[in-house]
Amino acid sequence: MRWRVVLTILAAAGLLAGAAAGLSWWRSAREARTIALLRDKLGAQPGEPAEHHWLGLRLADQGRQDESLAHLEIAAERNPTDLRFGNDLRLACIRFGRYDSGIAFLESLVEKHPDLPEPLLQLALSYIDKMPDHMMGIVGQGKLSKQSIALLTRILEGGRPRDAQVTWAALYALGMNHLYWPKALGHAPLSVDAFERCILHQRTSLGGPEPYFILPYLGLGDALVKARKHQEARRVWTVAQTLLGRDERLVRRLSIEDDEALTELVDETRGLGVVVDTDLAVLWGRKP
Amino acid sequence: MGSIVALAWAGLMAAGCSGPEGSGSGGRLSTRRVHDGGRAGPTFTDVTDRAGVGFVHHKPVFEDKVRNIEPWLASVGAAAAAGDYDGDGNVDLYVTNSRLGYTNALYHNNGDGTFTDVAAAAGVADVNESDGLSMDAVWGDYDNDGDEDLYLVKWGRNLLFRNEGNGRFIDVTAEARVGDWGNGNAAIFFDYDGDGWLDLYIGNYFRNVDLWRLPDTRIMHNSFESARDGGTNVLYHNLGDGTFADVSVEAGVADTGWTLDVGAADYDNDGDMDLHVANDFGPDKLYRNEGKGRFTDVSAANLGVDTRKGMNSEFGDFNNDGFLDLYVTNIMTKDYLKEGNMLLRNNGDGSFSDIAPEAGVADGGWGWGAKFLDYDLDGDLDIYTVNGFVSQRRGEEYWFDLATAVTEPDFDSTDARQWPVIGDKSLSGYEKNRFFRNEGRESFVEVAAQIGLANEGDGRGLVVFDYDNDGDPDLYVVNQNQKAALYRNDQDGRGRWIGFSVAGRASGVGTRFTLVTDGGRQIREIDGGNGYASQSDRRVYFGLGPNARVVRVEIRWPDGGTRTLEHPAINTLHALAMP
Repeated sequence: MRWRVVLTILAAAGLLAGAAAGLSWWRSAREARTIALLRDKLGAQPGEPAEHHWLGLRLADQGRQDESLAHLEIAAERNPTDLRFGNDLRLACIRFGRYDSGIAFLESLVEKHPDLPEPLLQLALSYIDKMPDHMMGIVGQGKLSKQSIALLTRILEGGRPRDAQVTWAALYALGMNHLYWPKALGHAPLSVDAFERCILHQRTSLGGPEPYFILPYLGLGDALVKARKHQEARRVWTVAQTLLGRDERLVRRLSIEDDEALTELVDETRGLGVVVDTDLAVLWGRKP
Repeated sequence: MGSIVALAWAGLMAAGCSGPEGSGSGGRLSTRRVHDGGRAGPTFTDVTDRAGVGFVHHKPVFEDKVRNIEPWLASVGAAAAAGDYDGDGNVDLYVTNSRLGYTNALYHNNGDGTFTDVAAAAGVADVNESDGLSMDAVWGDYDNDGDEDLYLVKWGRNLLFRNEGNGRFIDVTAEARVGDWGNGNAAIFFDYDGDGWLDLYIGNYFRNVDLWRLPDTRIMHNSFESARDGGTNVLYHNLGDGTFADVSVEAGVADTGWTLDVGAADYDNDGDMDLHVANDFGPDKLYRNEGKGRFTDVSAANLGVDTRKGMNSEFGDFNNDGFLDLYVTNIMTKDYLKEGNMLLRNNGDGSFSDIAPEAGVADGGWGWGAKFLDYDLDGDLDIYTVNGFVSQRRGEEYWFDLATAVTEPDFDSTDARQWPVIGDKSLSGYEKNRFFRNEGRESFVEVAAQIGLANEGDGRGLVVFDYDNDGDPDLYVVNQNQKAALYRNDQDGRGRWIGFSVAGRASGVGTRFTLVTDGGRQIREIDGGNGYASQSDRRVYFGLGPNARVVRVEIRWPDGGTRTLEHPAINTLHALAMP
């Protein structure tokens, strides 16, 4: 009797596993068919930007670099104000190490749309993206940072109406740019200023608290540490914790009582050679 | 210049992508320092004045059109080369000056702890003239007549002096055909083709312009991390008849980096000497000797990406695994540029891995000359590295000006006029030299202050030699525009050692020694001038640590022949003759 139960369970498990595998295979096959159909269709005539975007992402997963980038570029070119399109193009360039290709495309896009802030923002971020390129020494990285800062400043001082999230992203990226310069070069006050403006902006223009609101608080505190204002930094993080709730990064910082140890942490996490996140998906739901 | 470099400051800024907290890449460069009193081992005593070798280097002076960065341009030239030019068993020193009209010194080792400058009588003093100023020097018996000849590298026309065997040298540059105009900072003698004659490799820095009569100010590098627009290096093949031929291109070593040092050693244990080129502002190069007079650039595959400021090339087997490792100096500052020296561990398969951060030897400041040596005779190689770029006004740093300027997108680094004025500011000045004691297991601790070597001069060349013939390594440091220093190694009397000198063709360069004791094996190789702006004692010494005897010594001559010595006496310098 007991054996019968065991065999029944095993058979059921086998059927379920088989069904799952079959479903997975069916989905893969369906997606492959969809990709093939869409490739044929878009090869014959241009489609909607969203179709090129979708196809570009799928092809990226398959490692088809050139095809993927081509479709992502078409999407971004057709709709240069869509942050997702530009963002995913940059992420694909990072993934494939095709930094220069992405920069060249975005530079041409800015040339075509000099008054649109979104392409400017993506170009500014693409300069940051290139910094970890292992062939890029620190002087080259510094030049890229300055180019990025110049574009971000152009967005913020342009005086043209822009999406509130674009403003947030520009201020945040500006703060991060300045934050990564060595203390001795005196960028910390500029970083503090950018993060403070970013926090003010999110309070006044972006509505209720969003998960990504934590980011400029973290940056502001770190910039204050770089400016040797440790107590002010702790106050900022405490306020953030009150407003936005518990965050492990805040907890870690607030648990360090020794100023030098805090400086060391900031130097390690915001210091030379440390990668910076430029993925704008935090604006539409990715965990910051 | 070193370096020059700079900049870097790093900046860095931001980079890439992945998490706002960053996931980092840049490992921390830590230096372990010890406060363990007695364990630091032997100490060094500054005996410069007593020995009479307090040579004061004088830096060059340039035209007004590059006055804004003259301290930078005039930051190299202090070099020293050890060699027993008169064959009396005491190692002498040749020391360079770099100002027009100022003389170089040939310090004859009197054998009693003192030296006498005999450069004028020897005919090698008055060499800094309108045709060029001294930057490096190297000894080698290029004509196989049994005595050491002298090659002098200049920003200008290099010179070859033949040793006449009577205490005098004569200039044979023209007849030897090794006096092309160049702006070199390094030279090495080695027999790359195994024909028994010393060949000569020159590392050039600036392009082939007359620095003393500048046509314009576009003399600098076009990148701070990937420059390949420096002077072309030259390989002179010794034809065996007193003349040389330039074979740089055919041999594949006409490197155009901004070379500050060159080193030669058999890193792949195949019996011939390979080349390492330390380049400022860009990738160092590793050229594997393929035999038949050809080298292959294996840098990308075996060294990896390098955007640093190479200034020193030194080979040594620090972990006693039978393969020669590399120590390359670079730049490290707390506030601006965190690149760091590289300890390139030889993986035994032709490739190298930089383990300097983990080993604790990355932070050497603004590094220049560095050497492996077993100062405490414990059987493993320690590292001494000298540093400091320009020491002028204290508290006034040029780094800020430099880092700010060079990161401007439209800054043209090739044009010296665009560089901010240095004036009397310092740039990584007043740095203390570092001594990294080998603790085993690929780990070092910094003990310079404890053992008397934390000199804060602007160190350049570093000579390791046993000037008093007591079996332990002493040190001679030449400082830019400052006084040199001789440090005597004072053992506690318990250290055991064994040494070897080699007489024979090509000065014995390339001879490989493998020492076998009950505690393990060590290797050494006679080199022809490895290390920035210097040449060290060509005699080979081993510390024996706790081992009271040597089981045997295996010797591989440059021609491939071998010899084995069974149970040679310890605490003895063995004089060997090549077959």
